Amino acid sequence: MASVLGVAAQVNEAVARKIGAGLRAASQGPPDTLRLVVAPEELRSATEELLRLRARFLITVGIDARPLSADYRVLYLFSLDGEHLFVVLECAVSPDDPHVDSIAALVPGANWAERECRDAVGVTPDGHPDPRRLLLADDWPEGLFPLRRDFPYDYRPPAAEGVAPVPKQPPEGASVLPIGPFFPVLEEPSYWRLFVEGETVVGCDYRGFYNHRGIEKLGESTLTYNEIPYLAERICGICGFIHSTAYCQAVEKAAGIEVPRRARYIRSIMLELERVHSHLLWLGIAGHILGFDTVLMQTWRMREPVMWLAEEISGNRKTYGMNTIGGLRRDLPATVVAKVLKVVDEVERESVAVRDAIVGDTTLLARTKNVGVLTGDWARQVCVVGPPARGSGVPIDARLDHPYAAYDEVPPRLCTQQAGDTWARVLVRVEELLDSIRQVREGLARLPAGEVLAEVKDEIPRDRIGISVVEAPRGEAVHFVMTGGDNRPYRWRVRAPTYPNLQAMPAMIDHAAIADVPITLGSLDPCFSCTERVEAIDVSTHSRRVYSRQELLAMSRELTLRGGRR
Amino acid sequence: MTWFLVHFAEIVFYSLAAVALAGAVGVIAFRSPVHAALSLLGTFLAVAGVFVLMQAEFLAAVQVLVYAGGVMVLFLFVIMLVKARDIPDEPQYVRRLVPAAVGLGALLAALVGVGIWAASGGLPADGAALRMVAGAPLGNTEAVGWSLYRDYLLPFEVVSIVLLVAMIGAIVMGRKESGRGGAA
Amino acid sequence: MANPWVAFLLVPLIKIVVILLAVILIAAYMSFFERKILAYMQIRIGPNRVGPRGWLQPIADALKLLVKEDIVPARAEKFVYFLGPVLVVAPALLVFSVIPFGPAFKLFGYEVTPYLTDVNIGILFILGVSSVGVYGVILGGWASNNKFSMMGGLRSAAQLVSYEVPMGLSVVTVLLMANSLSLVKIVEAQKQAGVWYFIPGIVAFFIYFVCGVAETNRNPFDLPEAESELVAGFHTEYSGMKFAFYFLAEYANMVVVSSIATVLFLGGWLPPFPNWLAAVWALPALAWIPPIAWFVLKMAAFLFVYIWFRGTFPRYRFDQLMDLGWKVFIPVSLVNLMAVGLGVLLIGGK
Repeated sequence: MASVLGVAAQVNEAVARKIGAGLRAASQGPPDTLRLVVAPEELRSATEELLRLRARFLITVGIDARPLSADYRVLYLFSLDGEHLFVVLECAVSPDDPHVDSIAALVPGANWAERECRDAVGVTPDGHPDPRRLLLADDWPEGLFPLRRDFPYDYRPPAAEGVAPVPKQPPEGASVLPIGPFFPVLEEPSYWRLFVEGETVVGCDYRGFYNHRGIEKLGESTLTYNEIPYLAERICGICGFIHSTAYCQAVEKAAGIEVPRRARYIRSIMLELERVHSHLLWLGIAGHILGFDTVLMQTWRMREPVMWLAEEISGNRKTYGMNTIGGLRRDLPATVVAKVLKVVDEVERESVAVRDAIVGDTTLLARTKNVGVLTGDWARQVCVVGPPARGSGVPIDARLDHPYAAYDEVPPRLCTQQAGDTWARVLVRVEELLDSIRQVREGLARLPAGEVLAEVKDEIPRDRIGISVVEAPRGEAVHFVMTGGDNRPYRWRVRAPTYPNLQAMPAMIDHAAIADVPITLGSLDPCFSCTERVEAIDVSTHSRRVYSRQELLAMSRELTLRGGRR
Repeated sequence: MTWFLVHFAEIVFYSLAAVALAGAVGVIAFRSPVHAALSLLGTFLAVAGVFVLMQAEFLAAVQVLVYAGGVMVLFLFVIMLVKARDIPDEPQYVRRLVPAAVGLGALLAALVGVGIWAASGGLPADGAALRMVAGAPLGNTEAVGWSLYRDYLLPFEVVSIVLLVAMIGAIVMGRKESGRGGAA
Repeated sequence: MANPWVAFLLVPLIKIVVILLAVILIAAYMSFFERKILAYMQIRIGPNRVGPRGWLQPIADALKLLVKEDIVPARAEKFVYFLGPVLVVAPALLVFSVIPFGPAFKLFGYEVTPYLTDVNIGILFILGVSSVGVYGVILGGWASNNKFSMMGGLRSAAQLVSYEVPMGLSVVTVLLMANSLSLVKIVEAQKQAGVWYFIPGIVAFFIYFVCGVAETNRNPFDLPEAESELVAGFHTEYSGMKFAFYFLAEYANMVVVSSIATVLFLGGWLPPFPNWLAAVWALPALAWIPPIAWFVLKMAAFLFVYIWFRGTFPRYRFDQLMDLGWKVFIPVSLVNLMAVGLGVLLIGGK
């Protein structure tokens, strides 16, 4: 820990040297988090300095701090991966004129984060390259910011009249091929407008966030610390345990709670089991996208026993309900260990068979090699995480960079590939799948005895921050918690791995064939339910050709009135 | 009812002829290029039927294979890829075609006249003569092959070369000036 | 056969009804076997709810499609939209009129031929008629007024036109060996030669079958309906009976390709190696096997390979498919054609 403190001091010094008096305060909350309060006009210089130190941008958090200090705060979260350190750049923004300089030109990966901060909290990024709405619906009224404290969580504003989506215009001579709003392969809401010349993609436009469920708002307004894990694990349809772990760890860090060793091991084991079934699921979907349904059927069959195992351990296939602040609510029964070992043995045997089958398949190779290439440089700039980053030769893995749970004692192998194409991402995931099985085995072998829950005796102090990252199957999930009164967080921020990864998509499909678009998107393993968790908005789809939005709305209301009869 | 059987061939012929003519009229009468192309397809198929009636099965099959299965598909390709509004409306272009239309019409009239004269006994119209190969009656396919590759070998080869030249010409003209990476 | 009506109308009519019913049933049950076999390949069970072991599933599917709502998009080209399924299913069924399922045999003293007609340009007829089927696809895709359909239709048309060339060239090698265009004569020529044409024409056989898979838009060449890119391709907008027609045509075309492959390369209705094993096939215990059984058996083997392909290969990308057709199959089949021609000249055909 001493080295982390040393690095923090160095970073502090470097930023201070660069912006001088612009650095207003520096503090260290949890030992791995350096919090630098900077003047808004020095934000860009401070960011430049952090980038020079090879910091990686994580996410922006907008906080309505008017009840505390009569201002808005915008926090920019960075990670110094090699040094195991988080750096937070904090700006106080005056409530009369909430503006802040955009850093999206320096960090392309901050594009969405700044737009989201503007939509949700109302702090406008000046000089943003694409200032369209990101997460609010097109008919959300102007000037209403749902994550402000004075916005009730159950308020449903009237729809604004006469608004239309603002689509990007295709280049001259290209036509628009819509994919979505309901993506036919992933069966999830995402609306891509591909600009195509013949079968070649020359650009694209993305509109998503059709499925906000207001999760962050609920966490800050109606739920309490120990209720949130159940909501957090419903953020994602596949990797729920990841989000509940990330949330609990963020609170534990903020409050300085030490989790028992055994609980940390069990968390690790469950996380790796989740990775196993998620990667198998992904392999199947990739096969399906390429018209190779046999892979889909086989991998999903292999995945099933892992789900049963989860059910046996926790009582549920997916929403385990095991995590709580300070540890676990449920211990790993001793009887299940032998069964886990048996299941992972079987999964390993079959996974090796599948790997050998797909590695030797020339058609599969032809469909994925050099398809959807993401260069390592661009991956760093858009802050891509997880297997897509590692497939492009960016050696980041939250389990190694910010060790949590039991990964300090049972570390993963870093699986990287250099090519950056879809094939590389396949290889990375297959390797990780096998490595996860190894970790489950090792974790079980070294599982310590003892309690699984640390008793939390004192009230969790206010105004502390905690940043926790968890390496989800899709990449690193970031949870940020700022503690508050009333036994609930003042601000809870979630960044799912798909959020940065999706932003890399336009570069990956530039000048690709249409046929390569689905597998390229699929190779990111996107999870829209994770990405879109912020606001409770109902958006109906737009079919802009034939019906207007109002007509569709009227039609659906009419249908409802008739009781659904046609 | 025996009348029906005796005149079966004629009934079929006149139905096919009606379809062929209706299709031909449709080609120029329809405003939508796709409908016009479909009419032409109908004409091609009806003409193939007429060939069958004349016991020229080989010609019928080739007519369907080449014209219906090949040429018209390419027509449709072009029509669908080039939207109708991309075609400029040029009346003066049509006006320039008037002399050509008159000339071709006269030629067609002469051809039909010769046909009628031949059918009424001016020329031997016996199909059997065309099925004789080297003095022996053989199939329609053999007869076509025989006359193409023996009696008219030189014209046949000349036509092949003309087609080849046309094809290369089309490729040269269709090639992009500054090809991005060569192939389009 | 004194009465011309019997010879002229009644007998062909009966044959037409029998053949059509058989083809439609085979096509329907082909979908059932496809789902079952694929399921077993993927360690699943497959349809097992309707009737004993799911055997009535195709009937239920057909009924469902019959009563389903027929949707016509508001801005579709109505007439062409209607014409599409007709144009695709009619050629697929018409082709069966010349496919010989067996040799002539005696029934109640009459000579019966188990095929509708034997025209002397049989194989050309098949190629010609099936080339019309592409209209159903391209027009259906265009008339739907939907970008996915349009793209699926164009892809399919390009694919069909491209693969017709090597397919035709590989058929020509058989014609060189058999010296006839009539399907019945081709089978008889194989009997005379004592060898099925897939042995001297192994390259042509391979090319023919792969092209046949491409011509029927089947996996791994099922790009026109690549669901992950084009939803359902050219028939995205079709529903009810119109969709059923496309479905029927796809399966009927598979049967067509398999039947032609059987006739051209596998000796049609002949038992295996008739000349070498003549004594064996003459055994009373085996003599009862009707020629049609051999035909159906060979055809079924091809249909099984279709399903096997689907369980084994991922889908090609469009440009890869075109490359394969133009840069590999056409040159190879041209060279093969010349080689076979030379062989026929030196050794002698038939």
